[in-house]
Amino acid sequence: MTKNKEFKNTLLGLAFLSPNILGFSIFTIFPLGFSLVMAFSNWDLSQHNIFHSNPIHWVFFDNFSALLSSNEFWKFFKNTLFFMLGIPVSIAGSLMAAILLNQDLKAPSKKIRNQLILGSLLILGIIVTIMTGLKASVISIFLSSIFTLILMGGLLGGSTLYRTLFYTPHFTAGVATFILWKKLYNPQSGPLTNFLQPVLDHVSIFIEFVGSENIGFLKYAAATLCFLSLSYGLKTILKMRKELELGNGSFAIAYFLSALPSYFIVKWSPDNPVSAVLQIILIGTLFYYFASFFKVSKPKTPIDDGIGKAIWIGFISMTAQFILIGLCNLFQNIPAIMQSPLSTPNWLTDYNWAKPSLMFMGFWASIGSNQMLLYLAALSNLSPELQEAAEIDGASKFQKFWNVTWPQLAPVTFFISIMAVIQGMQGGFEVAKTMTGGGPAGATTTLEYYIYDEGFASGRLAYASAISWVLFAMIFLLTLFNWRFGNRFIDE
Amino acid sequence: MNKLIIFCIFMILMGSLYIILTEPHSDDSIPTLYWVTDANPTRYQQIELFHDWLIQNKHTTPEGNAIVRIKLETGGIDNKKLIHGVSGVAGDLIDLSDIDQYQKLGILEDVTEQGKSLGFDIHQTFPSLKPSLYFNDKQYGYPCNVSIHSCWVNSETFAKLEMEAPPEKWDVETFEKIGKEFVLKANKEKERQEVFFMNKPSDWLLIPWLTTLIRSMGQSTFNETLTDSTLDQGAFAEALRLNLKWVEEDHLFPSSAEASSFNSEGGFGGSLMSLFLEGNYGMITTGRWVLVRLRDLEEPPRVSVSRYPFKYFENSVVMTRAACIYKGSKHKKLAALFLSFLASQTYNEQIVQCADALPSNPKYLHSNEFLKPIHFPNEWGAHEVPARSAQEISIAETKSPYISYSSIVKVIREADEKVQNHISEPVEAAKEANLAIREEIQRNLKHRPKLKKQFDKDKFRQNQINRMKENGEKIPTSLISNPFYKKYYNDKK
Repeated sequence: MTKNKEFKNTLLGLAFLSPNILGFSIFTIFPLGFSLVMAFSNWDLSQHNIFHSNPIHWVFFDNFSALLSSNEFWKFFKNTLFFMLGIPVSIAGSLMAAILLNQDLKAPSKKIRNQLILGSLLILGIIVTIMTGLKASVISIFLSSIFTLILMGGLLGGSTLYRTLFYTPHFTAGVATFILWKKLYNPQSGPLTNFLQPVLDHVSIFIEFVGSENIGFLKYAAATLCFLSLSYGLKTILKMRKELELGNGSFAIAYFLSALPSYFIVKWSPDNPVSAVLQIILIGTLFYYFASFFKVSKPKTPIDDGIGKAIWIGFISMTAQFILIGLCNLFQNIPAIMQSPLSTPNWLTDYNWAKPSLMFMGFWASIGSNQMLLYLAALSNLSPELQEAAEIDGASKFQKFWNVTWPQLAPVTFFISIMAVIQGMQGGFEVAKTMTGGGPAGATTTLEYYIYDEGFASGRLAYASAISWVLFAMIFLLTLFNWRFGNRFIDE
Repeated sequence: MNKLIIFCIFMILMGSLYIILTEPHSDDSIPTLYWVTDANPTRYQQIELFHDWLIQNKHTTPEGNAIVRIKLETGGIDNKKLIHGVSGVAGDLIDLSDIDQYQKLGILEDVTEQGKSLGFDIHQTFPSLKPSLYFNDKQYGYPCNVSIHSCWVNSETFAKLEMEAPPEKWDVETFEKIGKEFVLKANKEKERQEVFFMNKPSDWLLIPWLTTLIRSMGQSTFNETLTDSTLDQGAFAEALRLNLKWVEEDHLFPSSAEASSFNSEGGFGGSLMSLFLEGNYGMITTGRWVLVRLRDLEEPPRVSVSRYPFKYFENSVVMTRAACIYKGSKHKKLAALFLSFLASQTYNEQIVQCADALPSNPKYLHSNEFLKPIHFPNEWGAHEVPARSAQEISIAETKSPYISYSSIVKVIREADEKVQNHISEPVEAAKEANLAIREEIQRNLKHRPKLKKQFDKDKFRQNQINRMKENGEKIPTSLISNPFYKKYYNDKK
């Protein structure tokens, strides 16, 4: 190819690309660069707009230092992180949904199909009868019936029907679904309350029958389990360190994650002898394993060896401990709670419940989202030879999943995790604006909402830009961390 | 494939042609004004009236047509108004309830001279509205309507319980006493509370409600010169405490959860009205526009009006939805004609008839059409209350030049939410709110030398006032900027 022709081809290629490059430059690159410049200025709509030509000053890092020292920023940052705690659950949910939807659920023969339909109708009848007995509302009975009908539909239509239904939340307009969920969360007449309240009534009767004081004793069981979770986690990572599966840095991360709940136990525990004993045991355990770490021989290994596994183990131990602390707290307070009959919370208007309620809705939306589609695609591309080899070796279903399927899904999980973290940091505006207005008392305001509020309600564009860039920096660091160590996890 | 693409392009071209041909022809010789307002059906009627008024008053083209036409731009939420305004693309006329915020942005046209020459200055409206319409003695808008928030009572709900409708004026103790009796009688033999004395003032209704209570204790949200928040001086905490007590102890208002289960919305199209008519609320806090929907009913209930309860200084908050001219408008003179129309007899009589709040000009408050509408005897006796409140005890909202009104609203709402959710005690929440406003003021002053200069002057004035207060001297009105203290000190004399 002559140089002239090559040049012509390049020009032609650029000509085809130019509309996109032009659009991208004008609508993405320029605003991005502009907002970065803006973040170092004092641009405020009340002072600087086409009718107010006050000079714009450079304030350098003032906006950044102001926001980093602002209580509001950190409060909304914590809210954002709280919502992000749901990411592992939503990924696990998407994977489970994808595995289920990967099965062929269609009834193999007409006879079996008819039997299953009859069985489902019978189940539907039983559900309706029970719910009527529990004085459930018409809407709850209706929803239960729909649920059973969907189950039946799957037998007729196979997994295609389920795949469509599971993906529905993703292509339904956000605001419409938020309003729907607002109705579901209605604390007086919402289906969720109507479904839970009769259950809670029966739980109340049961607790009364057993005696709330007796139930309160279960706190000791929960505390013991919490201690065992901590010990097991620490023991496992120490063993892995001994066997050179973990580097010193990885060990430190896993140790820190496992020990984190103990800090909160000490912070939250009431002043009584029982909790004092528990605190001593936990701190003693932490010291014991810390000391053991120095006792074991530590041949040289890269500092971040096995970091993926370390994070997983630390995270599981931490989550288990937090759940058990919650249960312990619940059992501790059962006698006080039982002063009045149990009732469902005010989902969206209670300061402590608003965040979990939105988070729960987020699970629903994300389980049937693109995450599930990606997993479905990955599952259909798994190597059948490996599965067959595992089967021949006599692997159980769980072993097949854990040792064959899960490692093959690692690249997809890695991609989904990165995207979920990015979206999690950037999210929360639409849902909070529609359902809670960022309240009560700022409980559901995320950083994205804060940017909108500062930029378009208060008119402080420079400050809003500074928040955006701090958010960008956080996302960038998190993604970098994910990239650095997530890749390692895939390789391992 | 090529044929398909050509077919698609052909269809798009045909569609475009159809749209162009079927679009109503606009006569370019007559300019169009765009009016950014709410989606209220009466606006269409008002546009027609404006058209007729222009012709009657000889504002016509040589052919005898009105010299300007108006088109509505509804759905103008506040943030949209702000962004459009600063970007130079807002409508010619903008309805605003917080003129000060937009005046600070510099996007509103000064209409002082036109106000005098075309007859829509302060003399043609309620004097108490001056702080909401004038800044540095310059006028920036004229009211489309005026609202005095009151308790609108369904007298029939009270009659069913063999109770008298509440009085026009009541102090907090009487309010509580009647409320408790009502709630007790109305919910007798009911499994759970279904009837409440009143809807809980929330969202935008919370501010006039709390402001009235705070002012009734002789305090305000700001000091005399608007340089500092005074939310920590006791009255705000007491108002928050009362609000909590009326929800949790006395059950006069529904909690947020109960209210959301009613699914009530306070706006024009909300379901608050249905709950009012069904008897779930004995009364609702709203403005006179509540009658717009009541009058649509075949048999509207008998209604009466009570003022907001007070501690010892009786007052009410006067608010307005005012029309302002956008600085970027190409037809400012024609837009001024619309403001003149808002002060006219034609427009005010329409407001009186359609009941969309109070007319902008108080001289129409005394007509029989206003006080005793012939087709609605169920309303007789109700209209006098907001009219008297507007003329006798009303005070404009307190707004400071050093902080945006939306920030104050946000802080106050958050304080109420903290108290209602038991996150903070009322005193603690009031202190936090006070601190939040102070910090916000300091933040606004930081990079604005002009504002800082004005602030220092006002601060100096405040020190003067403080000294006078310490010495028990009379404070001259000229030193005071806060509309509440102007009236309070004057009435105390």
